[in-house]
Amino acid sequence: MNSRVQATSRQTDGPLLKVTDLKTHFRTERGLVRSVDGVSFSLERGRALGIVGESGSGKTVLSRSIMGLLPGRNTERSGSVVFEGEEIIGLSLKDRRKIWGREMSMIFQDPMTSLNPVMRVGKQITEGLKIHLGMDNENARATALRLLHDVRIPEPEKRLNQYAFELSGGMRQRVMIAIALACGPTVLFADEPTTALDVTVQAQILELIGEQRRDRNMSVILVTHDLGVVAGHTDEIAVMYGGKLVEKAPTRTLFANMKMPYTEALLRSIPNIEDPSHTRLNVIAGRPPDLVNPPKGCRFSPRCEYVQPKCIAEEPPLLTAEHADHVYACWYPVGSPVYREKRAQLDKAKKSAGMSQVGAG
Amino acid sequence: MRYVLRKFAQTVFVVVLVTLLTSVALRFLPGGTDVLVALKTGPGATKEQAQKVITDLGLDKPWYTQYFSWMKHFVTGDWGATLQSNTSIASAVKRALPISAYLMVYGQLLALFTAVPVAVWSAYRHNSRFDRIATTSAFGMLSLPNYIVAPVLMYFVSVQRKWIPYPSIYTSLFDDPVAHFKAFVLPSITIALPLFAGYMRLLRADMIATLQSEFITTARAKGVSTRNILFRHALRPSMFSLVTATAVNVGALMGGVVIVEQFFLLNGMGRLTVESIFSREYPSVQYAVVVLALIYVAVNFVADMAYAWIDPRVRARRAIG
Amino acid sequence: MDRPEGSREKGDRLNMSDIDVMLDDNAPVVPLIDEAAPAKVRVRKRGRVTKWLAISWMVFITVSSIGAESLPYINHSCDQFASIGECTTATHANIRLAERPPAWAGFSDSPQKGEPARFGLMGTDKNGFDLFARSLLGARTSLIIAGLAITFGLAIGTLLGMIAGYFRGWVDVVIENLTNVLLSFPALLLAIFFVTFFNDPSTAAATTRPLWPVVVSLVILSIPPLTRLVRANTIAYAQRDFVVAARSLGAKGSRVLFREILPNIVPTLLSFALTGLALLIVAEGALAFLGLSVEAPVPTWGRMIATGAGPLREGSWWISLMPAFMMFLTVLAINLLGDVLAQRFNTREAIS
Repeated sequence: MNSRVQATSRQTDGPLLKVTDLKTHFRTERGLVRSVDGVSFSLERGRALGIVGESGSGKTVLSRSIMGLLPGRNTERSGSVVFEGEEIIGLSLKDRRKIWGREMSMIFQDPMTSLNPVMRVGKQITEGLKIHLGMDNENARATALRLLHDVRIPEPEKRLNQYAFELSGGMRQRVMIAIALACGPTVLFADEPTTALDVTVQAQILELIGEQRRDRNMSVILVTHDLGVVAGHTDEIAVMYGGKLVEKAPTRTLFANMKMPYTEALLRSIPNIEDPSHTRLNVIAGRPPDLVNPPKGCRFSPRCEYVQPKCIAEEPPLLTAEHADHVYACWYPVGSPVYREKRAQLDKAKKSAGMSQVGAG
Repeated sequence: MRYVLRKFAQTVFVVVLVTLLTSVALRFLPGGTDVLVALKTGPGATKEQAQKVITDLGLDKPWYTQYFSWMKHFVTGDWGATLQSNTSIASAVKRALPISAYLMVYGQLLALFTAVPVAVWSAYRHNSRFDRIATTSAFGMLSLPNYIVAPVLMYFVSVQRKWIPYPSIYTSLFDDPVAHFKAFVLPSITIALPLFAGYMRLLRADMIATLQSEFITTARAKGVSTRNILFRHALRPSMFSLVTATAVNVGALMGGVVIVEQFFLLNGMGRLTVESIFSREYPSVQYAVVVLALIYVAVNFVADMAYAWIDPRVRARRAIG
Repeated sequence: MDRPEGSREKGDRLNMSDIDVMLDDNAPVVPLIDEAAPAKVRVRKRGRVTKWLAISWMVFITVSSIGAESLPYINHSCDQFASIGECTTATHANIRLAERPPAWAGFSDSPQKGEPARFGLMGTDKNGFDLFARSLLGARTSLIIAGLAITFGLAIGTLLGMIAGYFRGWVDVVIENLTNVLLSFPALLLAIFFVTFFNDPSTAAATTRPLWPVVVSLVILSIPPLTRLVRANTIAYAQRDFVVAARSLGAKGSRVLFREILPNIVPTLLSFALTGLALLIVAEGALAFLGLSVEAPVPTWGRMIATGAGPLREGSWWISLMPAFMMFLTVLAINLLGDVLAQRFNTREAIS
């Protein structure tokens, strides 16, 4: 399989995938929904990028938009997506289909609904092999067996003839991965691949994706709402809010030195195992922005604890931090004097509130 | 297995009730048994003649005895003779049955083979012009009874154009296939039209739901062509209610058969029933109705089984349950 | 009609949950839409126009069928509920005007001088009767029979369904099984069966046949599906809080049924009743077509279509097709209105 990966790679300079000012808008009765509003990033071969954001941040639309998987009708897509040196926005359906499954593939959140309920697992795996690699039944079946073996499914022979409902959740997701890997893609999009799974299975699936990435020298784009998921499994993290990229940095840098209050809030919303039970979760107050009429200034400003007049008036550009590969969009980033002043105020208020509660109890 | 048994028990119950009702129905003729005697012997029957008619029909015994002897006759095919012309009821039914069977099969096949592609395309391009025309005309077709479609078709095809002769003359499929299909084409279209509309709407709605499922995106992301997504991935999981509907519709289909046979003068079961009613051949009505009802019950039973077979999930659940 | 996701009426207000759906990344993004389809958001206005057309047609057909006799072109002596015997002279007078095509159909033989200009709209049948007038009289027959049948069917079906759904137990078992048996007969055969046996055989072929056997047959036909519908709804509502509350306050069964449950299922019943009315009109037409409904000279659509079949073969298409057209429009209008109601009350046609 690795040989196939090499055989297909067109040699080009520059990154494997370069997304520039990608916009994806949906026409609806309510107006134009700006799900992705000018996102740029690039991805090198073999690297893993995490795209993080709440639901409604546009992260799923972004990944589907890059692949060109969105419905043509009522969708406006502009900007540029260069894959292996080739512009893929504006390709015909037929040409995109050659990329799908072959060069880019995708796994989804819920393996129950993303597998065909009435088609045998084996057939679902071999389908792509037959389409893209022109394999005959026998060959495809043998390859499918090897794939199931690769994704660590016990008794692969038996699984080929089973249906999705006969498998456990983790196993279904492994089958999904096998389907996505079948033709040796160069980029794998994983859209919330573990959200629907048990905690114990989550780690195994992430481990499997990471392992396959290394084995196949494949790039992975991991889309999730959970900063904890991407922490150990990506080289780089991009944080999205309201259809925009608001912070992007190498994973280590981001966790050590995050700039956006939104990123910070996301991190705080992960429940900590060490906290005593019944600790109140830090949920980000408010709702994700209305993508038809987004806030004028910083899109996070209505929910930001550290909001200043400038945030509401003016949209912050993407600024570069101390490290050149760390960008963020915030007027008063974490650690800035204004931020620190506000933080101190907030802490004080919280403390007094806590006291009064204790007093009352 | 329990599912099969339960369905089977239900079916048996219905069969018993249907046969029971029809077997004793002669007792409840508003005019009483005199009517039957009068029909059989003509006016001025002697007491002995009258008694013989009543004994032959089993009306002198209690209803349960009558039921069993009626069932015995029914099962053995000894259905007796018509009241007035003294011809065999069984052979009349035997002649009529294949005609109705052809009609129902052709009607169903025609409806299914046209409804599936239209529904698939409509769902795929839903809200497109094609879709709106298809759904609107399907809605219209549901308001078109058979007895309206039949004269319209007959007028345009047989009278104005003289393409196909009216009335339809039944020919065996094996003797002369061309004449056979010529006889059945208009009746089949008439019967298929409302079925087509119903199936199309049903499948379209289910198909739209299926096309929004995640596994369709999976197939798409694999690079499967649109046609294969529609027909290999989406069609089968959208077909469950269609399968049920094809069985349930056999009832409506029989109604259609009665009308269409009457209009196109095809001597099938429907016409046999109607003509028997008019000539007051009550025993013939009995047998014709019971045969049709039994076919309906049997088809529904088979459909229940087929449903379990088509959906592997149901199959598994039912195997356990 | 089926209204798939994404196509909402213009007037509909979006509520918060809609916005949620739109914002949610994981909301169903229709993955498979034809690329070639036109890129514009569709707004449906069609519904409102057709709704008013349907209402207008129903008002027209009801009013004019009630007052059909007072229409100027009706042949008073023959087109009504008179026996054939009284009609011979009029038929004789009309024979000259027999089988006149409608004026708009481009036939050259327009009414002769002295004849009333009354054969314009739909032409005449082979007795020289005006088809428009007879079609309106046929509408009356159909509407009366189907209307009576659906009314009785609703009353009985609702009662049975509520009893079965509320009290459950053995009553439910009995009602449910009876329903199943009736439903396991093909509908038209059942109607034929009942009409045959309700009609006194001694008069079955005679000229006057009463209305009630047809009505009763159709009532029997309509009871099982209505019972099922009401039963299912009653079961659903019986578990709702307000019903449980009423019961725990000691309300009697009948009070709970009629004051608490019935008002809630009325909307569903109403839209279903319209669909049922259309089905019953079609069923009555079928019986009439087979010659099993009320007897001539009372005109019925089904019978007019059937008797027009002979002339139809000779090319006189209007005799059969004009009443057929009237019937189609009426059934279509009722179906449309049923659909409008079903959408308004958000009920799906569960049983047909």
